[in-house]
Amino acid sequence: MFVRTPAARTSAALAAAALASLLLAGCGQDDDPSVATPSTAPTSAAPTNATPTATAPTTTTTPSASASTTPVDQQITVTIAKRRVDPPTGRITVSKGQLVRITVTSDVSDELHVHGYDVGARLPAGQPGSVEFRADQTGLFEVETHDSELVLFQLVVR
Amino acid sequence: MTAAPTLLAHGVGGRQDLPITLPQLVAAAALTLVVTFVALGLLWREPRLDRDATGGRPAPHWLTRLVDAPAFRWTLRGLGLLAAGWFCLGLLGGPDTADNPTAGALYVLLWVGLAPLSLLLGPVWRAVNPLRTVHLLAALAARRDPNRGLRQLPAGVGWWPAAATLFGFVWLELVAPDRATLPVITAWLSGYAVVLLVGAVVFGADWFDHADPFEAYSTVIGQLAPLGRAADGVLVWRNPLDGIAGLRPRPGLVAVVVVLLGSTMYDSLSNAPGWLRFSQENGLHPAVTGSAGLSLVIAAVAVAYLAATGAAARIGRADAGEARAVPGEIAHSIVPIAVGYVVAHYYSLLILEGQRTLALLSDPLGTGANWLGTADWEPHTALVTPSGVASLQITVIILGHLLGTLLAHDRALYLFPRARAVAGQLPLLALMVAYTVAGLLLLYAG
Repeated sequence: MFVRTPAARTSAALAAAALASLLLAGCGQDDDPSVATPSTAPTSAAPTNATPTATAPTTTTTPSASASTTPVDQQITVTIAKRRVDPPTGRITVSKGQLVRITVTSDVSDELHVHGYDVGARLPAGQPGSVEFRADQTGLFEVETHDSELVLFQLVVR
Repeated sequence: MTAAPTLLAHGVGGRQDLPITLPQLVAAAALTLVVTFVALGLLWREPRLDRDATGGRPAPHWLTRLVDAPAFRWTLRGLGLLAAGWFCLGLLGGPDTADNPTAGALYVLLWVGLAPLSLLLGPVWRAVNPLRTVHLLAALAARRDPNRGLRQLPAGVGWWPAAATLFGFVWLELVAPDRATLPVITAWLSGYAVVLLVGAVVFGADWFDHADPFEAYSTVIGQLAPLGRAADGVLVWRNPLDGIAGLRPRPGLVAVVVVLLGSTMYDSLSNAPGWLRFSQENGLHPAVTGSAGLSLVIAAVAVAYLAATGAAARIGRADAGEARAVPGEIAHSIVPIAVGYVVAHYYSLLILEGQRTLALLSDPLGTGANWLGTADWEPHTALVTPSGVASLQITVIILGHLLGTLLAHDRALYLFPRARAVAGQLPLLALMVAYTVAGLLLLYAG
């Protein structure tokens, strides 16, 4: 595949996301990266046949440190250390219409980007960065970092 | 916090198709086998396809006159030049951002769009190829015969140069780092133009027939068009199976179809999570892993092809001279399979990114212009539903398999003595089942 993301929209979205994460960080000053990376991280355990409504949060493994954030249908957490992605790159399936939050902690400063949805977040070294969006478009979308050029996982929206 | 930097993706598409599901995979694979064995039992007993491209119903007189009219030819060339010029606006003058139409125009409109266009109309790139026109105009200006170069092209060259440039293009499309950025595209296209134009000066305009990857791609697929040329040059309507049966062996033909099929398979493989993990964790530069992967997949497709056609020749008891010709004689039967994959892989990309690129083409310089009136287009997505795309993918892959099976069967009847023909085509059927099931597995995993 070979088409790139629309940069203008991406940077706008990124700016918004950066602002959002600033606000979030402002609300949760005590965010501790080591706490925010639960070992049981991402999950695709949510029922894929659930009706896509925002009112049924099936929040999973939300770290206690981000208690200040709103509940989502799917919380996906990834850590990157020495270019190793944990959990290893794979596919995570969510249902169309679910509210998805992706939280990534990288050991080096980087940028997170979700293809297709074109949302992104800054990832300061060692601190979690998040994007939150409603998965309202079906397909397969790569979630990746831009500087280290790692594919973290493929988000499958059915 | 500093301003958000401009994100430049390293050339990965936005939305991709959902993988097909396990039940779809199993059903499709089973159907493939059923199709194969039903075909084996029920097919004709005599070669029926038009191997020498002698048949077909002559096209209406007005159509022939139009297509062959010099004015029409020059109009097509002019349109090709115009499109190339427009493309160069964005390539050379536009900003290197994602809103530049260049990558979409090259990879989606040209490369992917050329497949359905050729399928309908035949080898269209030959008629519009801007490099061919540039060479023709230069030759006319210099009062030289464009078909005569400085020396004769050696006889055995065939499509080998095209196989090489085709590999070069699929490498750019699938492997090259930063392949959606202007410097990379500019560098590749410059190399392409130099190879083609210098070759044309040395060997004459024939060089384009032998070496242009887009012409080879368009010509191979164009053999399946309902409109074609009989051996004597007459424009005819014909059965697409007769058309593709008329794709005569030539040096490098097998390489061209194998690169075509292998590259689409690698495209799927490179999207599989297992491959992504391997590619990211082995410590090598992704371009190294990618190049090796692309080469290996193409090599695997080639080895399977040569092994199967070799076995077919042995079982079918072709004599030594004929046995050497068997791979080339069967190559046309791979074309529908490759076309099936191209359609399966790129249908939604063509629909979605194609529309987006048409919108971006209104503003190639990134100045907010709307020269074509398309700038505000929002892509229609109704043609791309998840279940529709999955059904289409499975249908075209099995259809490609079916047509490939028919073509190989017909050619086996022609090549092998009657008593051995059925046994002789068993390795060919095994090959097609292997290609098809591998392709389905990759659609499932990739």
